[in-house]
Amino acid sequence: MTASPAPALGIAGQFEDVRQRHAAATLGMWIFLATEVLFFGALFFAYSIARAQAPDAFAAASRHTNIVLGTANTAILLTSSLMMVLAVRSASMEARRTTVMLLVATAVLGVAFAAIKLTEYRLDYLDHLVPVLDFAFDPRYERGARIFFGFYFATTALHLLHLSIGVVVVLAFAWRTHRSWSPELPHSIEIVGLYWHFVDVVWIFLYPCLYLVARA
Amino acid sequence: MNPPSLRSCIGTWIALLVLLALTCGSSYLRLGALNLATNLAIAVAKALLVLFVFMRLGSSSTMVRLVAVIGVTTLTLLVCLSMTDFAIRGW
Repeated sequence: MTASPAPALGIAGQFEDVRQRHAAATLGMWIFLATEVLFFGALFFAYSIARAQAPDAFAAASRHTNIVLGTANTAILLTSSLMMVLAVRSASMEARRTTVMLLVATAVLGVAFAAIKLTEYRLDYLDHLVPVLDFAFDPRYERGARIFFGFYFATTALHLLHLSIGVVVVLAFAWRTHRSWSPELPHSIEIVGLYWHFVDVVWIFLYPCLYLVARA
Repeated sequence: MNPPSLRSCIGTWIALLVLLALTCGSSYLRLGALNLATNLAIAVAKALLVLFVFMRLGSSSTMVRLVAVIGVTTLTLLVCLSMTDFAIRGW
């Protein structure tokens, strides 16, 4: 048996080199995202069953969501993903200042999304659309609409939680990049980007399910 | 791995916003069952754009692509199995 080569400086013993460590980290994030697909997938499936059983109530309930704020938020989130991918790009080109600015822009758009979402929650509350608290709806559709808004709050709140974690992580990396440059930063920022884009993909599916059920 | 070009990033972003306008606009037209189909098709198209351009799934390692396929396949499998339950229960 030949002795394995001494690991490169600053790399954990289980990795041969930086490239392998990066591949492992990327794979780890994708495995996590695959579990997230199942997590959100179960909610989407339950939503589909409930909607198939009460299509009219879901249509009536969906018309009470705020289409202007929802659509604006979708555009904001898509733009935040553009900022994120540009941050990954400039980090790989070792443009430190630009990377920091783009990461901060990503986080600011994330915060804007959260602020609009919370404003929407407040308007929903004033419209008596929050189940459990004080729900009031057209009695013909009351039961189904209650279920719709149960899904609405559960899915958007879980999405908001994911987004908030993303904002904190993106800001942490903006701070790290600002303080000192290290050669592994481009790889790390790329992996943060994968998470950010995934949260965007979840919203891409939530948007038509919640806001566009029956607008015509 | 080379980062995506500035052109493809901005082009994808514009395409995503156009698709958003299409999905939102089309839902105000009375298309019946086509409304749902359009919204779903556009959502899938947007997700694929994000996955393949922003997340660079296409140029990722085979292992990563395998994990992505396994994630979606497992979900499909579980949804199909659950659907059979709802389909034959006779509610």
